[in-house]
Amino acid sequence: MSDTELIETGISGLDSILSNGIPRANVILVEGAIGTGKTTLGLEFVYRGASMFGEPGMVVLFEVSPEKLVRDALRFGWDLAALEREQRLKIIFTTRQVFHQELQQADSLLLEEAAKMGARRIFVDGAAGVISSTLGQESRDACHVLVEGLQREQLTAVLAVEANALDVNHAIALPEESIADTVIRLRMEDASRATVRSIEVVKSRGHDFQMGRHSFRIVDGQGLQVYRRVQAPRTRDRAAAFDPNTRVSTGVAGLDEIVNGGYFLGSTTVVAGISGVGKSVMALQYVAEGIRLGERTLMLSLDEQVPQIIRNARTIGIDLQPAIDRGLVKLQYDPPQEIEIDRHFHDIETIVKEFQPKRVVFDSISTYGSSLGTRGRQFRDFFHALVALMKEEQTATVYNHENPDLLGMSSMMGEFAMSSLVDNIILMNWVELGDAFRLGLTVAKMRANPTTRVTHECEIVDGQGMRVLPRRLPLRSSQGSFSDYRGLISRSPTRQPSADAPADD
Amino acid sequence: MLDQAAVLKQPCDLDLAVFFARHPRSLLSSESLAALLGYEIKQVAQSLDVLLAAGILRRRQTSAHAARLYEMTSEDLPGGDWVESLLALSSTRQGRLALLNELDRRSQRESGAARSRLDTAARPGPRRIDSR
Repeated sequence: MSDTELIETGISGLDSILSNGIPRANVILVEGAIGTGKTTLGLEFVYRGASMFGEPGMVVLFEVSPEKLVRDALRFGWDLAALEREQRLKIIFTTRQVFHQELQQADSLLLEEAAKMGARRIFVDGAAGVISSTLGQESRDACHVLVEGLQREQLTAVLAVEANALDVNHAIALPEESIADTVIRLRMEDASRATVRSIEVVKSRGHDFQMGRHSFRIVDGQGLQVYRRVQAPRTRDRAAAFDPNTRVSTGVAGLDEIVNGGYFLGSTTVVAGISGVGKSVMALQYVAEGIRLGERTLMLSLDEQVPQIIRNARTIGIDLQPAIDRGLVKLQYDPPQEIEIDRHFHDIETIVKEFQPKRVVFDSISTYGSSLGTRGRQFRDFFHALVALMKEEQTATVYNHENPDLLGMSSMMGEFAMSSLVDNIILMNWVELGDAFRLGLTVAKMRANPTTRVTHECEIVDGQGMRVLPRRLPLRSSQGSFSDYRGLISRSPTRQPSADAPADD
Repeated sequence: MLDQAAVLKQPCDLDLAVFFARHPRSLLSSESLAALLGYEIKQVAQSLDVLLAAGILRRRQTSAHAARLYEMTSEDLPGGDWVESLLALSSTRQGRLALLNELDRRSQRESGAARSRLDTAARPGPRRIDSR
């Protein structure tokens, strides 16, 4: 980066996308259809400048009455009237014709006002008509006049332009777009029957920025909240400092022995199995083990709300509430309907960075699949970002994954083609022996660990939770131990010729 | 409240005051103002003079172009909070009609008073009897 002076917009999340701000005196064109948030963005830019950075600002309106603007801004907690009284903000109502003439005048009253108050920022709402909605030299000249006028005063300007004044498909570059230094496009995009707001920096002279469509919301009491596109590559704050030795115990009796003492810090473990097989129980025991060892643990759920998780934990003898109260455990529920993945990831990132857990559980990633789809890039990129975040933060993360195969498994991760990202895969499955379903657990993959890939029997006992049974179960049942069989996971259990086959434990 | 706003005499005065209360800093030409308010330019000019003379409005202009920067100054005036009451009252149809009626009455009273002053001035004085 050169010595270009960058100014922060002050809009939550936007400066990160703009790589810390916008070069001073840039002319920023914000284009979008009605209701996309142009006025809110422009107004917040000026408001934050005046209230946070000591940069007085001016707002020029053609249609909206200043009275309504002041009223609506209160919804976000922005007291524009107070800023006006303190001479840090001026809201000027005018017509496009007058505004256009003004900028051509050397002794422009408008620019004189701006200079008098020391304005550094200006927002012009509805600038399309000023510049002219027609293409051609006249429009280009008008745009030049506007830009020159603003630059004379070293004003960083946001010009809001209605999308209906633009070419719908953006097949033709418009004068506004080529002359402006920065072009930001706001959209309302259909996501099935929901609508998601997106923001895209199309160009920005003089600095780097994150390309692509990022999400944003307009939040009462706050203003714009921009969420960086999950897929966007990023410079991480620090390189992952891998700890090659520390293991995090599972909390399931008998399982630690199978996974060589526990999962590595920074590792990614997927527990895959059909619904009801005990994945959540295993997750709760992982949380309980964290409590026992005094390790901060985070559980993120899209399936069950927090009171439900607490209740479920009680049924296997785990009382989460005291640990929650002590700040050792954090349970986070986010409803999966209409999930905005950029915001969701941002929230997870914030929690992880602030809470700094050693253990994290996602229950379950399958729900993301049903919300985002498993075939497109969205899920895959989200999961990539999640894994990268957890590795950077050195958490031992367990992702529960519902594999729809009832008996046996045709693939470890079903439609979720992401096995390569995962360090450890634990398959849980019902095995039908005689007239009973019995629970099998197989460590199918364990990176940097010796793995036997033997299927072990487990049981879940009310009030006690899950445990992995010894390989040999004398007098267990008429069907015998799992060690007596082969083909348990491949749907064709066959009793081995000799029931005295040596066990691995 | 209208007593405090005694300067307002015509409906256009009221509409202009309300407009500037809602747009306290406006850069406009007389033509734009007339178009926005729906009055003749001449009437708008007269009402502007009323508000300017009363100190409710401040105007800045340059010789080069027709637009002027108008700033509502009522907050600086003693008892200037009448503008807020005016706004509140004129924000309903009934309130606005009541205000206009009151302005009409005031206008009639004043023109009546003026007429009577004129009549008094025109009426021949008591006949002086020359005793001589």
